[in-house]
Amino acid sequence: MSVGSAIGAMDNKNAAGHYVEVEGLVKLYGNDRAVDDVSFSVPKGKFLTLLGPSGCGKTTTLMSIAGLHTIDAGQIRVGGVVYTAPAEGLFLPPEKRDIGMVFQSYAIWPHMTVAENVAYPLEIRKVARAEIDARVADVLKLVGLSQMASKLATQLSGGQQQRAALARAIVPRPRLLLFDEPLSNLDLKLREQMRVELKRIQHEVGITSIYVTHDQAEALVMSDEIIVMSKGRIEQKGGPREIYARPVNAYVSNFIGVANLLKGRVTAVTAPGRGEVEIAAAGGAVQVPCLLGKGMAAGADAVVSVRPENVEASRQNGGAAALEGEVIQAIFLGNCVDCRVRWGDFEWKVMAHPRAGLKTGEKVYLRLDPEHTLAVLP
Amino acid sequence: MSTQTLADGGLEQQAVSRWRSLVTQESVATIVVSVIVAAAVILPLFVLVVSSFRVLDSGGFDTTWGLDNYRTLYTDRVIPKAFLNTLAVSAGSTVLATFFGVSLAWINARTNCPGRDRLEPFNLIPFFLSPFVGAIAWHNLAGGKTGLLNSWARDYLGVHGNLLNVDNLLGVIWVTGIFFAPLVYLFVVGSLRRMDPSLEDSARTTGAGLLRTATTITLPLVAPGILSGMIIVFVTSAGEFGVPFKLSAPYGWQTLTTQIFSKAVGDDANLYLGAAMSMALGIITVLLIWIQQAYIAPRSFTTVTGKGFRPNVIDLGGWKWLALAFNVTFLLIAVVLPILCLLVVSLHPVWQAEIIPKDLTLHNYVRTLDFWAPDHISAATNGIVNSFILAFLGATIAMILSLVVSYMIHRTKGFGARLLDFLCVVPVGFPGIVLAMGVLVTYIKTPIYATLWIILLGYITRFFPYGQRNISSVMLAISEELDQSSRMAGASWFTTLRRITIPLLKPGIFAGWVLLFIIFLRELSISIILYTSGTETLSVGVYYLTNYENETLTSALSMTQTVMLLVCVYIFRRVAGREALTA
Amino acid sequence: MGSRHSARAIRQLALLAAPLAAAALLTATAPVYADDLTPQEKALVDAARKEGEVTVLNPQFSDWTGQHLGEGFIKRYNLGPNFKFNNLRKGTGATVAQTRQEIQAGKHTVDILIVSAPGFFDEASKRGAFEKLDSGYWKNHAEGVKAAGQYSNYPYVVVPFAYTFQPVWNSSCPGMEHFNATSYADVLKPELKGKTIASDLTKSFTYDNTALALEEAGMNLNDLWTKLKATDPLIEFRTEPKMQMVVSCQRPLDMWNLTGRVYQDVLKKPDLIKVLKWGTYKEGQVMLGNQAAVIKGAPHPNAAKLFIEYLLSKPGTDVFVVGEMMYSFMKDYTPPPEAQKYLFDMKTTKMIGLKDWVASQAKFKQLRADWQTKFQ
Repeated sequence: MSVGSAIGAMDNKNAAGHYVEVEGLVKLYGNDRAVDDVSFSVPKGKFLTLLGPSGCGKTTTLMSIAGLHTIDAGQIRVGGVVYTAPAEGLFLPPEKRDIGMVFQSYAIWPHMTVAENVAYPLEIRKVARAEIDARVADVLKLVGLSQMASKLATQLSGGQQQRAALARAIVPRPRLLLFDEPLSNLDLKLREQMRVELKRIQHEVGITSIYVTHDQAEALVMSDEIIVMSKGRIEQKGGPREIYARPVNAYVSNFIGVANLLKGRVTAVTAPGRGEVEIAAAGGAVQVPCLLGKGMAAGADAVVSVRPENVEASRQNGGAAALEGEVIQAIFLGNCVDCRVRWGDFEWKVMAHPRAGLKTGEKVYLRLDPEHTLAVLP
Repeated sequence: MSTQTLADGGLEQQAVSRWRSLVTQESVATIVVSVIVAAAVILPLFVLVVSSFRVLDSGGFDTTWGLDNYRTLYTDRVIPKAFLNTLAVSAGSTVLATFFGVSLAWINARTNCPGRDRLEPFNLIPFFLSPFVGAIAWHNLAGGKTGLLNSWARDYLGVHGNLLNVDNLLGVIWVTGIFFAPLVYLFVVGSLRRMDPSLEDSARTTGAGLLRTATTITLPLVAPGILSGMIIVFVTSAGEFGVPFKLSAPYGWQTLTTQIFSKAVGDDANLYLGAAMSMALGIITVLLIWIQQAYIAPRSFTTVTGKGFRPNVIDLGGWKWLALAFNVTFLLIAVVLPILCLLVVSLHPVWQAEIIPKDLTLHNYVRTLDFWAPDHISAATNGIVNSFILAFLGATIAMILSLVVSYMIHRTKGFGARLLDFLCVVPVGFPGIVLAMGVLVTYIKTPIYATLWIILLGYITRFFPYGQRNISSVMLAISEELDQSSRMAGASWFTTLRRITIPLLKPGIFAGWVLLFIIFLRELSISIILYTSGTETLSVGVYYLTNYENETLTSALSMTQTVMLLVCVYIFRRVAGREALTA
Repeated sequence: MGSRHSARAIRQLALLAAPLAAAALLTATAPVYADDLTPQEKALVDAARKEGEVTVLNPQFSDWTGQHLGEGFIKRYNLGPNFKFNNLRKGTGATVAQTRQEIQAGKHTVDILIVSAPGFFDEASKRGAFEKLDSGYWKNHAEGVKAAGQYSNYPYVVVPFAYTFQPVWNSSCPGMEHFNATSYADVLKPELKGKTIASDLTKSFTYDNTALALEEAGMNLNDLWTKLKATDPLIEFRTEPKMQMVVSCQRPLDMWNLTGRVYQDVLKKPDLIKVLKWGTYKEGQVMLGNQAAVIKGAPHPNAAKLFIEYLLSKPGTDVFVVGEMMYSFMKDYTPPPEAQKYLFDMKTTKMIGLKDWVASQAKFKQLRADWQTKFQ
């Protein structure tokens, strides 16, 4: 049995199903609704990401779960225990919540060594010294920092501090892990590396985790479920593939990955969730088959979202749904060509295969993959 | 209140009601501290305000309500003049202190003056000494006929009469200006050192010469620092008591502080009139300090980037020797000369303005230091012991108070924090004498009256903001997340304070403690109002000697006090390192 | 026969021995104090001993005087080695201010107040702020005090001593070799320009009272100030710094200083006795009597009353006379030899006071204003 699962297995919490439950969370700053009626739940052992730009309320939500912020309405329950319920006058102080938290700045205490940092939560819990040493050694091995145990925080690199922070959060086997944009201070390569590492460790240890970030690539890599937030509200909940392929509105569409977004109008509903949408540009209007998002009825205004990889560009005219345009940019990226195609007054982003050999100035015909053309709420 | 106990992770959990969440360790500590600060700061000032509206009758015992005290402020023969004198002294000292402070700071931070690194710690020494002692030393150096320098000028240079005379307002300005120059120096030198050199470099690349860059780029950027220093010096000079008391008041030039003192314990004692005068002075000084804190201090960080780098150093060429001479001269005048004078005078039985080798004796030191000597002077020997006790206890208690207050100001939000921040400025604005009068009248009926404790209360009330500023500057640099992660790890508020916050604040705590220790060791205005037999302090001892004994005994005790302060400064620098001295 | 003899011998022996034994017993158990104590003193001793401490607030007593007063006081009444005598010395104004504050607050740390401030003592006794004294020695002083025109208010306020301002000069300074002063005219001569000191009337009641007493005795103050101003004096009010100016020749003549101060400086540098000189004014020496009282509500009232007795007794008087060179109004009192040099003969010197010290307070304001217009 690996170290991580050993740690996780000793967890005798028996609540199944929804482990973290957030209901109707509201947080006001003056008149500003920083978090506006947010509800969600996280199953045991799963990894949830709150995704959105700064100011969307994701950090406030996280802090509320941690108990570092109070809330104005709603309820937070973890493992069946009510943590915060202002209506009933209930509030559990943060140090009693049994939550491990990794902060954006790592918050490794500079006057202690790595081992002392990691041992701290166990000392607070009055664990016996011998056991402390053993558990600290185990968890440092898990995060790959065994060598650095006696070093001071100031002697660690950013990535190493990050791991130390994670070790410290995990070592007391908390019931919940919270991450507040922990990777945003690392450089790109390290970030990509740590994403995978974090996910691996979390999976091994099996602790329920809630992760906050503005980086959609991170969210896609690490999460079991993603919640996209904007202006204090939830825009969409779902797994990575679902969020990516089936964004419910223009906002989510634009936030996750890259998308071509145009205004359009639903002209027909051909089957549940399918139909036709009319898009227009200065050159003319075209009707294309598409998938219909929630709330899309005939005649409704919609935003059409098509990812660049789902736009096919060819020199031959493919038919009625083809859009005629001119290549104004073709940048060779190695594994694909980043093209911009002008269609009327709209610029399509197209990921073309290198072998197609598209060049600037060429006339091309664009065809949208109906399975990946979405008409969603504006 | 639902109670569910879960045996995991070793923590027992209870969802606690909102009421109990109010009574946390954090809120209890902050409420207690707020009450203490409010009682210590607000109460005496409130009593003073009320007293200023009570008018004393001719019998000297009864009072009636009225505005007569305020009327007397401008109808009295002496008070308006005293007010003008205070303005003159403050303005003059500010100019002098700024001149020395800015030029020394510039020489030290921006030029290639030789040996400037070694000289730097010495430039700060005047700040740590007692200006009252400085006035005593200068009186013996240049005070009319008895001045040593004057006597030498007569004997060796054939000068008729007195070459110099510091027994007047100019003398007060001279001594005050020199002793407070380090205040300006500290503000400006920090500003100059932290300046991003690329700001000047970019000016130079556009073709601006050295002088132009200095005046159009450097100067405006350090202006907030200079202005801050000037305001602090102005306010501190206005509240300075010992120097005018020694050099100008006896000869007819009163200042507001000497007048307030006389209204407190002079022949014409009328503490109600004194309270009215205190109000007049206090309002002005508090206003100035508030302006400095609220508007000027924040602007001085615009050039701070946090990265340490060497700013541009100007090559003075041959002029660098002049710069060195200037710095050394300052040190000679401000530090060496007065101390030498104290030593010389203290070795004589009586002072007759010349060195008489056959008279030299250490007896004055015996009388002021040796508790068991038959002719010891108890005000002096008590003073040493009491001052040490007060300094040690006072610095410790004040730092504890400062810690919690800083925490409250920087880690909690809301109106309480801002109010506390303002309350911390107020004691600094009021002269020590004023605050001491308030403390006296407020606490005279309590058991602490006429004990060391009332003096301790006065000290802490007046000076804890200094400690608080030291801690605050470190606390601002400590991310809040360091505390929060300790809470998330399961530690209570108090444990977090003990294991995380305080260890990280150690440099600020230590710096603040030593600063307070030194300030308490040399404190005069508060001690002089609140002392009784047995609770004299060092400065009270010096005051006693200067009133009832002669210059030589006074110089002996002054010398002792100066040596003690210098030792403290030395120890501090050795233990805390170069960066540790900030005001 | 042998046994009868020895029995008689034993009886005789016993008869002789008994009174001796009784005397021995008596002396062994009776408290050993000087047997010239008055009944009033005796009545206070035990209670004073129990109180264990006394605090005297005054501007007068130096460390030496305070120490010796304490020692003498404890020894005279056998108050025991643990008795504490506290001499709290503050300026005239501070002394009055502190007492007034304590009276008003009802909080007392001072037992006895000794200072020259008739106005304050009068006002305070009207308010019942002082303890009633039953003094065995006061009657020896009452007459002399009255004759010298001093304020007292027995049984609340007594006058244990007085000082007076005399002209003091340094004969070793240039131009002072042949100087002598027996009259105010001598100290106001124009040729003394640059050599004089003007005592600041606005800073101490003692100067005000001296001036007013001179005026009452017939002197023209306006004339006095004008002549003094013409000598371009240096203004100062503290006696010690003024003495230092004399010693250092900065200002070799001070018309109003104390021989007690001269004595203190001579103690420090004995050679000074050769050059420091003083005189008396034929117009009259204004005696500034120091009033003394016990504060009602004081923590150690019996010890305080006993100390007042001590001050009024000869042994006590001897101590402060030698320590401070001050004057006692005790009948037929002769100062100890070491002090006689510094004190003038009270029988042959003209001593003046004020008819009404309390009422003259009202004149201070005008007096000070006049003085200020001339000198400041």
